[in-house]
Amino acid sequence: MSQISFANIAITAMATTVGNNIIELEDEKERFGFDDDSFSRLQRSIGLKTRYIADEGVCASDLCVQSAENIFANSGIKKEEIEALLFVTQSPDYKAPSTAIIMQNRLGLPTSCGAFDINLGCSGFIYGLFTAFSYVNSGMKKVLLCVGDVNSYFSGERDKIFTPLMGDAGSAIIIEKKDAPRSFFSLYSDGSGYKHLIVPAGGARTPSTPETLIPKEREDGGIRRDEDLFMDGKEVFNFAIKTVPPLIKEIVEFAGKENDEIDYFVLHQANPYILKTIASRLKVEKEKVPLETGQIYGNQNAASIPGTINGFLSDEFSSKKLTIAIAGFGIGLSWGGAVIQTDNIYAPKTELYKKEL
Amino acid sequence: MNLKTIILKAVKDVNEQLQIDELENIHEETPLFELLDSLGTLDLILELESSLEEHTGEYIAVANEESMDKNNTPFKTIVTLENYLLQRIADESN
Repeated sequence: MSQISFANIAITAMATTVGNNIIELEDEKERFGFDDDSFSRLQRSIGLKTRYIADEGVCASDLCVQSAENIFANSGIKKEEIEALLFVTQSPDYKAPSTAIIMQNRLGLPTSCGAFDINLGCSGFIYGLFTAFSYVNSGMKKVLLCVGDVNSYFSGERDKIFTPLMGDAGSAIIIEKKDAPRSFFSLYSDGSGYKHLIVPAGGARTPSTPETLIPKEREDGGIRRDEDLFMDGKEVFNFAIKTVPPLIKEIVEFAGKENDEIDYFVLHQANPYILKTIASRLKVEKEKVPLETGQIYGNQNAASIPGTINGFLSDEFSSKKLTIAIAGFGIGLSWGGAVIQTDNIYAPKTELYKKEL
Repeated sequence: MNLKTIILKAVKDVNEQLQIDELENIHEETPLFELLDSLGTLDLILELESSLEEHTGEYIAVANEESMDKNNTPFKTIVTLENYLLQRIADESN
């Protein structure tokens, strides 16, 4: 894609809600069949400590609705001003209709609000943000972007390869017309790598059958169904190290900035080693590259960039004007980056999901 | 300690947990990358980085964009890994 920039459009609010069950990885040793040695390997190499998981039956839309209600209750932004609701998820409430349309009604947004889902994972925040900026650029006043996943929807209950990495989160972000410096975006996709991160069955290509629902031990040692997500760890690691540093270099140059003019590089929280390696290749101070989100909350998919901002940088974003570079990368394969400026936005600390809502 | 000894020790340390038979009697052409899963490769990278830092006094990032590329990985064998690390150390000192 060509590089695209937008003038006078900005994020003005961002909130994140996470699953209300805090699971210590240590407590899951038996569930995933880790012995002491393999458990300490996992802690050493990926640094996992805890993850935040939603109760059974709680959907990604529930987490996003709480985040959106937080914004409407506390930021001064009014529901009747929202002209589009976009929901980036891989765990919709139903196969059809789009969950975003159901959320329009639950949130009490006007029926004049357009709503639809976008099916993306870890790159989804960038793609969703780009779409929201485009809509505002085309004349809409305010767009509500929701991003999130409940990972139990597609991760094997006993898949020790993938499931221990994952956390549940849903974010809501308001994008609106505002005096603001230009924002810069760049998006990429490469479908030749689609098999490296895939839910192989349950779609029209390989429909669901009783067989595809049976958990089986796989070559990589994980126990999962054909309808659970498979990740080729080596390929995904390689993809991230190969694509993300040039992406960030490109987008920072496109924005006419130097790395030292960027306050934070907020990247999809795949795993701390990947983030540390990317920071080292970019020669960026490690303090500017937050990397704790996955260790504390689990991999939050499309919500991991707002999840990092609300989880660890809430005070900074609430009180300062910041120039940030953001990048998401993952399933598809797909990746994208942006350089944007935020100015004292409404960015409360991450909340736990409240069942009563 | 020379570089090959550092590599062999790192592989041995990683394999203490993995218990892969072929790595017990490792030789120069043992197909390292084929035998290690992604976590094992990452574990070896971390072991090498920490050992190199101990010996050189500097952090040297071992992973590159081909670390886990099955066709071009420097982790194919002890020999390819040694050559790669020599180059990385030279790059860092320049």
